[in-house]
Amino acid sequence: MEQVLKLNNFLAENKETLLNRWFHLVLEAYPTESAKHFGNLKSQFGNPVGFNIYEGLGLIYDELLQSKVNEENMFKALDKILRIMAVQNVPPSQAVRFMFKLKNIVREAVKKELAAGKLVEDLLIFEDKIDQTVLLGFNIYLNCRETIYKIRLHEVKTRCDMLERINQYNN
Amino acid sequence: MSKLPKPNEMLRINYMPPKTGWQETPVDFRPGTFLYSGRPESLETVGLPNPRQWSPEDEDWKLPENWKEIILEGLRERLDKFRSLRIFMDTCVRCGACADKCHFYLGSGDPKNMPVLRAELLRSVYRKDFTTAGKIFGKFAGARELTVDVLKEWFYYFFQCTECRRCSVFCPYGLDTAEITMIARELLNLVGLNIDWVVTPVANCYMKGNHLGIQPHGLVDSFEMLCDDIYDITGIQLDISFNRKGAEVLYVPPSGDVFADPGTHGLMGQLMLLHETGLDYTLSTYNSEGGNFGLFTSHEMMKRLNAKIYAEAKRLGVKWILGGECGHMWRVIHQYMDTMNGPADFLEVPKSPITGTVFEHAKSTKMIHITEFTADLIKHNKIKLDPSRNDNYIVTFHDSCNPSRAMGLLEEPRYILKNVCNNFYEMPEDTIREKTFCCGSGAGLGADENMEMRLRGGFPRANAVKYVHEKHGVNMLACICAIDRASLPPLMHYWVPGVSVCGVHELVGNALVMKGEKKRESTLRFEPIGTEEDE
Repeated sequence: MEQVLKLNNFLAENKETLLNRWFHLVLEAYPTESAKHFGNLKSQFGNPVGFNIYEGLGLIYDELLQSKVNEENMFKALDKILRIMAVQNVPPSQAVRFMFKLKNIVREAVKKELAAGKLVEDLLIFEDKIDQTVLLGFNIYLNCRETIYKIRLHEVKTRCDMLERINQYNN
Repeated sequence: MSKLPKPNEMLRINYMPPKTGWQETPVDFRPGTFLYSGRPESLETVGLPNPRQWSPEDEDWKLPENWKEIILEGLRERLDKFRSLRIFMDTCVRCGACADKCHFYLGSGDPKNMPVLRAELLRSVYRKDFTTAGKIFGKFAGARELTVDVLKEWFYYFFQCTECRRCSVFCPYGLDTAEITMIARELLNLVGLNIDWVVTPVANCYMKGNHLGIQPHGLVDSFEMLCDDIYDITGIQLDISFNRKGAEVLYVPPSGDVFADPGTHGLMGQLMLLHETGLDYTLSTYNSEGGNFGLFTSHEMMKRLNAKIYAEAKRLGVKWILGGECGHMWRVIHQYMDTMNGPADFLEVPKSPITGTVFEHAKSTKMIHITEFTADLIKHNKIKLDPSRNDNYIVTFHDSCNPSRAMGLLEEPRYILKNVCNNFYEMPEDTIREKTFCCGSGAGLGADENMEMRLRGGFPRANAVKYVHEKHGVNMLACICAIDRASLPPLMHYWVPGVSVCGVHELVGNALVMKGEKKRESTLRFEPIGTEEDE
């Protein structure tokens, strides 16, 4: 248990660096010029994609440091990111890929300790949490796509109702 | 324009395969992102070329054999006709000021949604065939051959621009990129490439006077139904006239408000207000459309449809015209009408018979916006309002692109809202007024088949709504455009559940204390009303 705290302490102390590294890795999925724009966080409203992704990543990061992940909080944090990707022509496997990038970043950050046989158990526990998060991410992505289809269905239905009324009036 | 990469960026090894240049990246017509083609019958109705069954997903788009000649000749003709187009083609210096201002780019990250690159799709062809440098140096001068793939790219991206003109606000040269889209769409129309969500409303409007194809008797019935609802809510029976010669004013709302909620509630509010003021107005069953989808087709089509409003005004002998809560209608009136069909010398400069205000700014078009009329009434204390009836709503205002950017209608709707409700909060500065973000569905993009694209494009707007929703508890998004009222509800459903959409005059109708009305128990959408001050 003490060991878990050790990794968590390291992650908490280095949050800004690791979070920024993670953020820029996630943006690499976009075309170069766009990644540059999305990476500029000066304007919350001029760059909604970058800002929401950054905010979502931060919340996920914080939640992963908790001894027990609160599913509701994690859902909200993931939703911030996946809701965007679900309308950006990103397939589900690619959409949740950003969580695995955190694994790479953390492994890289503690590689010396790992080589010395330290923090291994902590890391396994931490990575288990990431895996759980990925599973939750699939639900959210699917939920978003279903919402899009429901909205579309509702639009079609509304139009049919309207045409029916117009036909009634026109007859 | 572009910053130098930092050392760590230069050292970063990219394992991803090299991406193709923009000229070599073909369009992927993925369902959810493109619009269906125009129905051949609709094209025939208005005499548009090459009517046929086809789909953007097909390999063969069934173009006329000499399609290339038609497009290039069309471009030549327009370059000669519109000096503005030649300036737009030659002037851009790639400063990048517009690049991150388009809502479709901000929502998608697709570089071809940067206004500069969207325009470049047309400019590259212009350079190849109309400039010496392009003819000689080809690709090195940014020129490229017009091919079927280029045409497909045009179709995809020029029907992915809502002509909102936000980018133009930031362009140091004031290039109107919406006009580039308009010209590109005109060219596409020459070879029969258009979308059903534009062409069928155009055909309906041309034949039946409105986008929805409601015939005169149907229109009368539908207005009567709205009056029945008003009677149930207020106990007051409205008497509406149609095609009445000699009325002082011709009132032209967008037809979407006649049939689709929440637009119907806003229209009810307008009818109640006009009744209460006793304005001598009439509606036309032959020109029952404020909107003008001709704007999204070609200059000629826009002119043909706009002419109907003025022909009706002349036939009925009215003095001036009052327009409803419509968006792009006002771009046509304010920026094109005067040189297309104007000046409307047979009409008088609009003068409110209730306040005596003369609307000098409409001296030539003789047409004013309903919010100008209502704001003037409130300013002169001519109507009684009980804003507490809207206390269930915490309201924000979405500036519709065309009324804000094309006619500068910024204060009137806000002035009205502040008088008809007690809880009003603005969205952040960079997302309102002339910098407003588009709903993502204007210029004919409000279909259902491209819902994913609409949600992408609408994200910057929704993001700002979400901010005031979380900060102030905003639950009502007011607007003055029929397309907004149709497209913002699904946008809110996806991004900001818990926020409804209404027309400004729906809130006016709720707050309006009418002479002889019964105790109001419900809002115009038949929901329990907020508190009443006389209770």
